[in-house]
Order: sequence, then structure tokens, then C-alpha cells
Amino acid sequence: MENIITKYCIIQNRKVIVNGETQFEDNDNLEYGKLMKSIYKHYQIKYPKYFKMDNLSKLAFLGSEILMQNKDNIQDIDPAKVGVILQNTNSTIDTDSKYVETIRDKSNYFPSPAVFVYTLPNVMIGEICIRHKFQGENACFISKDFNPEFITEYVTELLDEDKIDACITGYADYFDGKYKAMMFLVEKNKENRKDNISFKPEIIKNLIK
Amino acid sequence: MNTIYTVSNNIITSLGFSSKENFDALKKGVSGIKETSDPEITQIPLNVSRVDSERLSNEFNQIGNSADYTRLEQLMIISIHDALKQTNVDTSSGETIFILSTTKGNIDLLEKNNLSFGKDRIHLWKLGEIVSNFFNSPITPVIISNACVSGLTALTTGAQLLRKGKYKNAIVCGGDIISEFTPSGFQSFKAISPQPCRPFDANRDGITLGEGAGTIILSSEEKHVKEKNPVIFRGGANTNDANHISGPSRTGDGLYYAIRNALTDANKTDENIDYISGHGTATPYNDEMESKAIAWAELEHVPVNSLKAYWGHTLGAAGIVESIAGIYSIKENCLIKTLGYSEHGVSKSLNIIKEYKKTTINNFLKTASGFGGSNAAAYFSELNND
Amino acid sequence: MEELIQKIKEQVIEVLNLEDVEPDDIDTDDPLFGDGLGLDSIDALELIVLLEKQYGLKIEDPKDGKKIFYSIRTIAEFIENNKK
Repeated sequence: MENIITKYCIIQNRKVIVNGETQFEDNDNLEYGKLMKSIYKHYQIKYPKYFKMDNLSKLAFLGSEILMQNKDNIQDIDPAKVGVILQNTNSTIDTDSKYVETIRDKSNYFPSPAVFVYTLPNVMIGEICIRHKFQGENACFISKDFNPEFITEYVTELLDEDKIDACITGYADYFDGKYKAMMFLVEKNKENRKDNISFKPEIIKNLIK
Repeated sequence: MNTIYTVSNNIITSLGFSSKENFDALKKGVSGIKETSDPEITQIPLNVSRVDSERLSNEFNQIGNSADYTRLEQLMIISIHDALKQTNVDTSSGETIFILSTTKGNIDLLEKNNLSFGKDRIHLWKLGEIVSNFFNSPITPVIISNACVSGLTALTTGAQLLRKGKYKNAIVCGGDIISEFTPSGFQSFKAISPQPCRPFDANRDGITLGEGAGTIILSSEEKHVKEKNPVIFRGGANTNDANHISGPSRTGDGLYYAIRNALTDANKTDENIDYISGHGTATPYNDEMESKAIAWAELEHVPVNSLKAYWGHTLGAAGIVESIAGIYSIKENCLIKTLGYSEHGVSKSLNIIKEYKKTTINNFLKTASGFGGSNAAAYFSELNND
Repeated sequence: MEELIQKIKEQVIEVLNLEDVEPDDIDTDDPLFGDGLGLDSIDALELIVLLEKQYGLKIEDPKDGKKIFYSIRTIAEFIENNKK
């Protein structure tokens, strides 16, 4: 028995790659907002709240939507036992800067609650949880670079200790126009099979190369 | 699985620069909240709990050059330094990991467009580097930014890393500063009380913010324990309401699961919990939600308080400093009164601590909730008495 | 009044990021909160900011917002009645 990656999704360089296959590519050099909307439409997502999200939450949300589409196995898992554990590098500095603009000019001072609410990196996790009613272990870790060793150890421990039965994990970051999401749907305790993608750091490093 | 000892701790807030100084103030019912009109922080008079800046500089200059470190870095470094002084833990060995918790880090640099510390200094990973490098740590620190539950998430992460021996010691430090950013944001939510906050009270009308740093050093090694009956971190859990990104669940389900899972993680099967250190931010919704979660967990009879009217809501430091107050409640066998509370204002009848009182305390449950629907709980108890 | 109602619809769409919603899609008398547009508590706070920023009208207590923001028409009426 082992913990396995049943689906993974990489969003970067204008592409969406799912389980190794390029499912979407932008050839029109769209700016970020339009690019993400394009991906939203490509996957026929219908979730109006998406349009209220900040750049980071949009990215993480889309990654998780793609992981959760047509996912029959996970329907049997109690959403209260699904965790969302993500790593990130630049927190919400992008959104923080936008928020600061709403308070910078004291003669035109209108702090925006809709922007402020997104100035915490764990809110992207909150959005994923709300969408799928996931109530399990949650954490947002910040590191300069994606750290597959840390995240696999941390999530494996949660799975092996029966605290969660599945997990959406990986990395999502947006800063200064640059974006990268590497997200994995991990399920615990599956029979060893040749075509399993084991939830191990060396395997993850290969998948994201 | 290794036992997780809480070996030493430190609190730095408006009420002082040591855990003892802070807890003494709590015992006397002294609050560190004061009104300010400082334009660096607020456009209108604001109740807030701030660390004495002059004392901060003086204290820091005894161990480093305050000109080279931001306000938050100084707070966290002094706090860790004080906690370390009480132990023999070696931060330069590969056996000790730093775990830092913060919501906004050096956000004051961003809002002032201050590049004098370099453009990377606004990043939380850089904050982690600066703090852990000060103590010659060879290991990249773990940094947690999980809204107001960050401190408890940091403690549960520390315990996880120590339980199976990945590391022997964890320096868990949480901190946040007061600047213009966070108060203005909460003001846009109409969530800040015009008066010092009143947790669980019928007339509560919002939060009071505070700044500070708190450090708890966790160790799996008995050799670092000085007390006969040390306080053990027994278990913890983090959950999500999955309801709304800023409003808490109406049923309290996320927090209830956190409490239940934390007690399960702690192998706590009986109901003998002596004290609950609640989150109690004094917003109408949070305190009501919390009362529901506590009632659902069948813990309405357990003495519960919120310490937010002493220190304000210290965000990334809250889970740590309030847990330290719990540890001191055990050490000194006492319960701190819920400052700001006079008339019961939540739908469930809870056993709110109304006066300071001496009584045997062997354990406590700490709870927290935050933006993004996050919830966390942690259970601590004495080694010899659970 | 009709011009104001149209303007409010456009502003609400913009400020609340209501994607793919046109002013004509919003019924002037339909409740804004609840099922219709699915607005939530943060949207209510942003509407308070909108009133202040665009019309100079301050609402201190979010609870007052419930009546004022019931529908586009009630917002328009509030603005008309409190115009300086």
C-alpha cells in the first residue's frame, strides 16, 4: 500500500499540463487576467465567485478545479477528511500592493475590503475548501523555492496518521506578472500498482521538470 | 513517538519583554491597549496595543544593531534570544529547526515603499532567513502564514517534526507588527471596536489589534527540561470551515472539528479539561461561532477566557503568546479573567472566567480561528497529570 | 432617476467584479442579496465604499446597509434623498 498522486496539474509558461499532457496552450500572449479567464472557460468552469478572487487565489483555484474535474474516486472520500496544504513564495505581495494603493492617498482614502480580504496567502486555500467543502488539515507554508521534500513528508505524515484521507497539495505562486502552480491530488493507502505515481519527492521533481 | 516538551518561552508585547512580566500584568488585570492617533498607523483615533519602541531599540542594541533590522525582526529575534537564554539548545546544530509564524511580515516596508533594507525584505522567506541566520541556523526555516491561526499551526508543525525524530528541537516564534495596513483593512470591514474589545460580551462590537512576538521552544530531549513537571504539547489540528473567506461558519463546525481532532491527536479520551484559552476576538460572529463549537464539543462547563483585551489581537503571535499564558496558568495554578466581559453575549451558556482565581490547572485547550475559514486547536498538559 | 439607476447598475457591476453581467440583466427591484446576484457580506461592505467614494454618503453601521442595499431602486432612492 502506498500514497499516490492520482492527478497533477502544472500551470506555467502559458500552458496547462495535466498528468503530463498539454491540455491548454495560449498562443495569443494574453495578459494574466485574460489568460486565466481563458483557462476558466476552456475547462467550462461555472463559478461566478472566481471573478472576485485575486491573482493568487485564481491560480490556485484553477489548479484545484482541474484536479477535481471528473474525479470519481474522491467522491467516496468524506470532504471533512480532505486536506489542502500548499506552498508559496511571494505570499500576497501583489495583492498587498493593490491594497496599499487604496490607502496611499489620504485625500482619496477608500480602503477596499474586497481587496484586503485577499491579502493573506492562506485565503487561496480557503477558496478551494469552500468550493469542495474540504474541511481537513489546512496550512500555507512559505519558502523561497518549492520544497518537495518538506511537503511530501508533511502530507505523508497526515495521511499515514489517518488525519486526512486525501490532499490537494503542491505549490502556487503569483508575483509581478509571473505565475506558477504545481498541484497534486494525493490519495492515501492505495494498492501498489505498476502504473501508480508514488507520492515521493523524487517522483514529484521528475513530474515538474 | 517522542514526547514534546515545552522547554522555555518568551512574550514581547505592550505589557513587557518577558513571559513573567506579561503574565504578572494579566494576573493584575492590566491591559496594554491604549488609544493612539499616530498618523503612521491610523487616520482616526484607534485603540491598539503597541510595544514600547524605545525599549525595543535598547533591548535589541544589546544583541545586535537595531539599524540593520526591521521592527518585526527585532521583536522576533529578541523573543527567541530570551527563550534560548533559558536553555542549552544549540541553534547551529542540524537538530534544531526554526518555525516562524506571521500574517504580514515586514508589511510596513511595503506601505512606506521602504527599500533601505533591500527589495527582498518584504518577502516572508527573507524574514525567515534574517531571523534564523541571526542564530546561525544552517537549516532553512519553516514559515507559516495561515492567518490568525498561524501560531497554532506553527506549534503543530513543530510537534510533527519532532515526534518521529526528524529534528530534536523546534524554535517556534510568531510575530506581527502594527502599521497602517492591517488596521485600515479591518476598519474597512467595520470590524474594529471604538473601545477596547469585549470578548463574549453582549455589547461587543469588534476587535482591538495588537503587535508582539512570542516564542515557545519545543524539544523531544528530556535533558533540556528543567522542571519536575514540565508542560507537554500533546496534540493539535488545523481545519477549515469551508464556508466563507472572511465570515466564520454559522454552526461552528470547522472549529469543532479542530477541537475534536486536536484531542484525538493528543489521545485525550476523558473530559477533564481544566481551561480553554479561546480566540475571542470580540466580533459579533466569531465569539458566537466559538460558543457553538465549544458547546458542540460538550465543553461548556470548562472555564474559558479570551486574552484579547490585554494584548489586543496579535495575529501571527496570538497562538503562541496565548498558549504561553496557558502554560503559565498551569505553572501557577490560576485562571486569568476575561477582561472586557461583563454581560453574557453568546447564545450558548459558557463558563466564562470573570475574575482572577487560584485553582488547580493541569492542562488547557487553546483554540484559534482566522480569515480563509481557518481553525486550529492545541492541547497541552503537565507531564505527570493529564 | 432612471439615469441614476443605470449608473448605479454599471458601478455595481464594476465594483463587485460581476463578470458577464450587463446592466440590463439586473432587475431594478429584485433583491440584490440572497439568490439573485449572490452577493455576500464583503459585497455589502464594498457597496458602502461605493456610496462614500462616488456619492459622498457615509454609512457607519453595516446594519443600516440591509435596507439601503435591498435593491438597485432602494440604493437610488437613498442617494436621491441624501444628495448634498
